[in-house]
Amino acid sequence: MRQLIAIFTRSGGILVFLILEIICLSLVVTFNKDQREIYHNSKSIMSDSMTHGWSEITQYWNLSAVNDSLSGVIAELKQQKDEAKFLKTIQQDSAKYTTEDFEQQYTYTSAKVISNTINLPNNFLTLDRGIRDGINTRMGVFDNQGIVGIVINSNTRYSKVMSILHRDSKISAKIARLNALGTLVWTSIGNPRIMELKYVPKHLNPKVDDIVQTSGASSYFPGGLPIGKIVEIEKDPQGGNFHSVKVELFNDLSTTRYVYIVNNLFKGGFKEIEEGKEDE
Amino acid sequence: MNNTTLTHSLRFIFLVFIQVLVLRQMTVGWGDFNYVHVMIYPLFILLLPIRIPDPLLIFLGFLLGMAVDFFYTSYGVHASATVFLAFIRPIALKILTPRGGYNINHSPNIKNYGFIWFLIYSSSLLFFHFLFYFIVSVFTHVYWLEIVLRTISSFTVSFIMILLYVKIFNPRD
Repeated sequence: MRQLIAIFTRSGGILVFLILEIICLSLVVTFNKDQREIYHNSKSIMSDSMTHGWSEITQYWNLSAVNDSLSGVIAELKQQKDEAKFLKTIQQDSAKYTTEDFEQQYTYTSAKVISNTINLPNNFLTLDRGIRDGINTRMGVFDNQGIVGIVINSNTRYSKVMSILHRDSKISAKIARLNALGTLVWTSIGNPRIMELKYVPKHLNPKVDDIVQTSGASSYFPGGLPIGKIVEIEKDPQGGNFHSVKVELFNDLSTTRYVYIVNNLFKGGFKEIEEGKEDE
Repeated sequence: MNNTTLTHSLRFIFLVFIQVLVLRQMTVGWGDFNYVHVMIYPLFILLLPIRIPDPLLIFLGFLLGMAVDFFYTSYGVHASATVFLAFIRPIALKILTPRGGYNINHSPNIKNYGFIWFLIYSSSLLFFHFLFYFIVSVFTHVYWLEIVLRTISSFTVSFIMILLYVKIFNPRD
């Protein structure tokens, strides 16, 4: 006890001053409204900016998980749009359609691209979803900007997708403004941005910058998904019945990362009628 | 309880009561122009004997400040200023050491060291006390003009009052 007091007396007042001054200022900040508010305000600004700075650094650690969950949410929202649905009833006034007139035809599953090629004559992608996620062959794949390809093979965990940059790829597409159907193929091997829209009848008048979309006539994709825009039109030089239309894709397949796989819920019936089977 | 302790204890009580009963109403009653806050209780610290140990001095400053705070319900505001005042008093005494040095038994007052000496001693310490008080009272650099105006006006009026008190009561050791 005596030694404790000795410490205080030997320090020559500084120790006592510091202790008592800190006590006084704590009392000020605790019991006086104005000072308390100023103190808490300044303290929270400082600690909030430190916490903010720290979270800016740590957010990178779970960025991947956040991206995956957002991609899933986007897939769900996209399948709410009318283009993914089937119109059951016909009304005179199209403005009067309600949700009961629509039946869900297409559902989307989000997926990530694990491997990808664009420079070969026949290009493929691998996705991180497989049979256990409900992915089977003959499902269309698209991303936020444009279309990507069609699933041709899948095992339990992964799926192989034939990219649209493939010599055998044929996508049923339409010029939106004219509602003109055609087939989208890849003829410019080595150029991953340009595809050709074939069988556009000569009597129709496509223009440069027209938007090309999926037609909805195939079971792989819903109609209305953007594909690209027209950059070149050649009135068919061989004197045939069709234009030769070059389309520049909206999406750059070399950077494709997050995609959506289309599941057509009506697929079975569609295939049966194509093969000539009758409904029971 | 010897003579010195009794004198200083009475001075403590007297100054605190004058401060909280009389001078407090004066501040409030000035209306819009409330820059002048008259305070004479720091005189208690100024007049304590020279040989008082520093830690005890600071502790007495704390008691004085808390007593005034109790009546002003501004817990800790006056106390922080008086603790600071008690801390810098030995420094001021060291700077203002007269030619022959201090007499250990004396207190710093006019009878022992002269009017001019006391003027310099009390005005310098008092100014810093008021400055510290208003900084803690306002607590933000945004209202710096308030701090400056209040310090200058309160210091001026209080200093005059303190000189009057010393002239009237003529404190000895």
